[in-house]
Amino acid sequence: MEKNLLSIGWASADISTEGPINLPGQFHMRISTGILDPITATALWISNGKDDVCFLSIDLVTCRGGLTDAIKEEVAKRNGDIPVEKILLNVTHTHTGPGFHKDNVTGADGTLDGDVPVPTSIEIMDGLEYRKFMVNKIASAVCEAWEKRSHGAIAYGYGYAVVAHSRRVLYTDDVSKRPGAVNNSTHGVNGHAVMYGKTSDDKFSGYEGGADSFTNLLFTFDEKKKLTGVIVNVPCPSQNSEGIYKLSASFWHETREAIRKKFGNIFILPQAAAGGDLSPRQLHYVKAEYRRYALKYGRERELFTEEFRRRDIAERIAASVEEVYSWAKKDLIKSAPIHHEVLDLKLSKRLISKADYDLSVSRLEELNKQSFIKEEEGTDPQLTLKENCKLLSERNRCKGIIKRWEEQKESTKYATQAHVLSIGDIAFASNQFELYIDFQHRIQGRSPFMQTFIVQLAGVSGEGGGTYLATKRGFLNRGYSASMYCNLVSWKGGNELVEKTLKSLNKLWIKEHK
Amino acid sequence: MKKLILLVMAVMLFAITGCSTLCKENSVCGKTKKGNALKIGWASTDISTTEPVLIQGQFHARISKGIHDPITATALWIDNGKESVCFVSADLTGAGGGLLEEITSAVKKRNAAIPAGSLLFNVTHTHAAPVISKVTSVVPLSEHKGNLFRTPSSLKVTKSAIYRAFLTEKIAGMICKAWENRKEGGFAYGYGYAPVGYNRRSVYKDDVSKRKGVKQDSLHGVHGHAKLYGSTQDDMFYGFEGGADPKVNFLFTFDKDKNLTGSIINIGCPSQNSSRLEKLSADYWHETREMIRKKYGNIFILPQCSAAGDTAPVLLLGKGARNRRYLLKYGRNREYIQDELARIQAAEKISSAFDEVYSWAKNEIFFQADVQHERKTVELPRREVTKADYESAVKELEALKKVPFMKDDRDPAKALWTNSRLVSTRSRYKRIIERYNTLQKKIPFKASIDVISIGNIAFAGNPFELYQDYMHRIQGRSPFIQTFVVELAGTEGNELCGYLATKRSVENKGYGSDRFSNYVSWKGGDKLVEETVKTLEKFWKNKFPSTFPVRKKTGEIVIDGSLDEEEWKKAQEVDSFVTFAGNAPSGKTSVKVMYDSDFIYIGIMAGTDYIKKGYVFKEKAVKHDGAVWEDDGFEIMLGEYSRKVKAMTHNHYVLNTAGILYDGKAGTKFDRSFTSKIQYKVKKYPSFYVMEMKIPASDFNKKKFTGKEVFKLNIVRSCNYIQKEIVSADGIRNHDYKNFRILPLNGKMK
Repeated sequence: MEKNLLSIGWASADISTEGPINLPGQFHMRISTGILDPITATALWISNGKDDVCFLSIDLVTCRGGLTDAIKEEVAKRNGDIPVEKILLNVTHTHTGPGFHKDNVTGADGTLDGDVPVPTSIEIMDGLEYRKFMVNKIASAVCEAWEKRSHGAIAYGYGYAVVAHSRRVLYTDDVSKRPGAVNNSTHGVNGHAVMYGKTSDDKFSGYEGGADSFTNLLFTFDEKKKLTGVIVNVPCPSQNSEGIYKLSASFWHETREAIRKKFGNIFILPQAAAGGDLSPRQLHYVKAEYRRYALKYGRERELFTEEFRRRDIAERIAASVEEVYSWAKKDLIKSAPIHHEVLDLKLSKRLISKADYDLSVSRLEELNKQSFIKEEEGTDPQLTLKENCKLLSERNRCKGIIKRWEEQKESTKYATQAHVLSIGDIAFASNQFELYIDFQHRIQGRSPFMQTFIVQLAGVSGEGGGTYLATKRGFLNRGYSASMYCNLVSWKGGNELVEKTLKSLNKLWIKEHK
Repeated sequence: MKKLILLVMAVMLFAITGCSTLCKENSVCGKTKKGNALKIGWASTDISTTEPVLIQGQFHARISKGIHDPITATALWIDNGKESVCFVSADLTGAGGGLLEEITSAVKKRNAAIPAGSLLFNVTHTHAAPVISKVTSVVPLSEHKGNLFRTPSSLKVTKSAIYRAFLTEKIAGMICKAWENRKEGGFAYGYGYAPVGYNRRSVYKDDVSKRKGVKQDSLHGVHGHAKLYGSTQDDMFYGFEGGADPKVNFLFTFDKDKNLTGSIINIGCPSQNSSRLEKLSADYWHETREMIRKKYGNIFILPQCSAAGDTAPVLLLGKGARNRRYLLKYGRNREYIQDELARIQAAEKISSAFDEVYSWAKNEIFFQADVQHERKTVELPRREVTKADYESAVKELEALKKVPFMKDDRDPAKALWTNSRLVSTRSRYKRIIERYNTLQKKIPFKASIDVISIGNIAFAGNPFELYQDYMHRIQGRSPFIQTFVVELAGTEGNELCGYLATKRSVENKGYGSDRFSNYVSWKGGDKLVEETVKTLEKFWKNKFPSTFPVRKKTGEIVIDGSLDEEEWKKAQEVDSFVTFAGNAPSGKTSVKVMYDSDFIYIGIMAGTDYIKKGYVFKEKAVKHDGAVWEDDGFEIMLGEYSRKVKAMTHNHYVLNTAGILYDGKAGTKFDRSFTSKIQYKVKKYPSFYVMEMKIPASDFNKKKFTGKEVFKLNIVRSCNYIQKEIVSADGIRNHDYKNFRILPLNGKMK
């Protein structure tokens, strides 16, 4: 019998809910008013009899709050034979996926346990109830994919699709020192950089970094060489439509549709490669962009620009899948060594200074004095909720700093996990962060593997998940995503992540090629 | 050699005879038409030569051994009868050394009627085109006075001055031909994506010049934290300095029957895959032309390189994966043909972007357009050469002067390589010495830049290898819908221009941002941006009246939602409402403004077919200061203007079709607490609605208007009942107060 023969199994689940659920992704709660398009979870097992990997991708914004553990526990409960530690879970970062936290309170940088939900008359589905529903559905999909494993093959390659753009706009001056600049935890974090800053500003000096137009693709085939599915790894979070009040997978929905139109009803497993400093929105040429959509799609509705962006992006990803498939299928790999390890890492925290701690204490005192506004007749309760959530988020951010100040006395290291695995000549390296793209380039540039798929926003054991991991230059330029509120791990910790990932990649390479 | 001389003479002869015909025709056709009807003329010419010429692009000399693929020049005239511009692109490495002036003068000589000063001439930066040095000797790229050497006697080579004469005449002839070819036509435009360029500046955690074995102050010692084409496998690799913009700008031209005739393709990447080739080649533009023509027939293609000083079509990450891709896709991966495969890949990307953009851009063809062109000379700060740099250069040059040229008896190819590199290296130090002396004399750096607008798009040419940040600054601040930045454009004067690096890259150092590569400092880059943006803003303002017509009210009117009174009839109408992207609104929209000592009066007519189509206006806001801007209605931004105050706070009135008002102050921040004393009436009619209002002087903390006040005004209409269509006077965004029209009450500025 051939050595390392691959067996492959796929399954997918619709995890949308009609219920009025909180949609985390902003500093305020949005209570869903229905489903714009289905949000899904997709599982792919690849085994060779010696080692395994389960890629599991979910249309959610983060996978905090022990979700990874809960899914693994549920899978193990259903089938004790399944090696749950081999599950590499990632979320796509759609900002319109359901919340699954117990108190339904959300802030972009963390819900703190014990917070009281803001008062609202809106009926909100219990996050824990949804979580149970979702975990069951996902666990079923993982088990189903495991059961369905059968001999097949993989093929891989890379192509190009312009999806992301740098979202960190630089200025020649420190914008926090401009007259009228607001010194709070949202706007006061700006420096020479501003996330989504204005490019028409006289002091605009360029973007902090570039985006990356590469798509990494892994195709799977059944024994008859028929295409069964594809991992599409794109360095961009799927956060178009991030302000809407309906469930949506963002551009992955249109992408799935566009790919399936060409290839039939295959499985599609999206992964966000490093995209902490990127977004699917261009910040200059906006007028040209509106015109592009007006002429291309026949309408000019600013409100739906995000919808058009999604379609436009989907076309490019689908074209890239088609292009790469045309040649990658010539090299079908039926057997391959698999090496999969999960690293327990301790990364240097971004430390809170005494001054920042003191500032947070005094700011929290101020914020605690402010009370929630009451709903008024005739006003949209979602708007009142929005205002109150902003207050809560502000408080939470201060509380987060205070908590971290206390915690860093115990340890200056942040515990996290990373999956590093190889299948033949390609590798996957995950991390829990919204990782700046420079870190990805460092790993890919130095990786001995032919292609290295970076997977950000991957699930880790425990409560944590998400959070930006900024580079040194990001830290120096400041701005949202590189502020103390956003970074639990320092840029030095980012360097450590790179080194430890590379050490593991090199080890796996040597193991296979010695 | 004789062949080439004869060819030059033949070209000149053709051009002269061609021109006499042209002059006659021009005297007939020269009468300018009224309006902005466009005429478009194309021509192209092959500028290849089979003669053995020196090839530009490396530190060492290469002598061409024939033509790999034709190098060409292409010209496009766009003429609206009042102003005309000519885009000229040539498959060359550089356009400096007075070439623009020579071409201009050759065109003038052929036909004085041609506005030869209207050229925007650019090169594609292929590294497989002839040296075009003026010096009538055989010298490689880095020739410098007093530092010449003969090529090995056994190697036959044509003088570059002869090629230059041939080239100039060919291009001038082509420009005249394109002028002659002008016919009624139109253009369309759009942008798409073709990720051809990659950032080529690898950044390292450490200063690589301080690593063991690096010779300080040498040509290689220019590295710091950055290195051009630096290895990404290095343990200290830290990322790329910037990005690589994948956008590609297209301008398509059509004949009067809407048949595609050609295209400008503007992309942020130099065409330098085949940079080691010893044959002439247009690099990836050759395959791109072939691929596009396969689909669209023999159309004209005019390539422009937008800012790309820090990008190249060379992949630095994942070379193994690239080789595998080529092997599987093209069936080949031998190292020496990789440049060729990279060219095919670039062509595929550009050609597919062409298809995509053309598919929708052709839906809007402009047969009329305003055209503006300005060439201005800018003085830019030179990059500093320190005393230490100068002294080091003197020392290095002395040492290099002692290095003898290699004799060519046994190995002429090696001698050519060695000796030309020696000359190049000497020249670099000589230039440092010369620049130091120039700086001491405080002679300013002067270069010309070109800014062109055609309708809602603009072109901004500069002579540098420009870093992309500068392009983003220009594009981000340009008021035009699309701004095609064109680098390596011909400039007036004889200044060497080189790379124009940004502040961060100068700090990172590395080739391209080092003292040898930059003649102008990053501050000069900042100034280039400011000068370019200034002209772009001026051109945009020229397109629209800068003031809002306002009439002094003398009779009575009633605020009743009807504009039938004589007073309103006498007031001048403004109906230039367009979307932010410049498209016409679904329903005609017009505004009239009047004032008296107590009030400013605004009368709005908003055309709509809502009844016919059975739509219902969106009127969700039901109380004062609600979210009125989400409904159907108008936003009025009106504030007192002073040239001295940069940030203008303005009153913000938002009125929906149900007559619900939001009032506040806007500018640097929004203040909802303001409550206006405005009086208004909204009235709906079957095919339009009227908003009539009077805004009291007290809203501006005044008792009366004296008539000397100067305001700025913007009016924005939201059509939410059909779709979210937003139109405004002149397409100005809601609070973009810099671009609001001025409203001087007495019609005069202070």
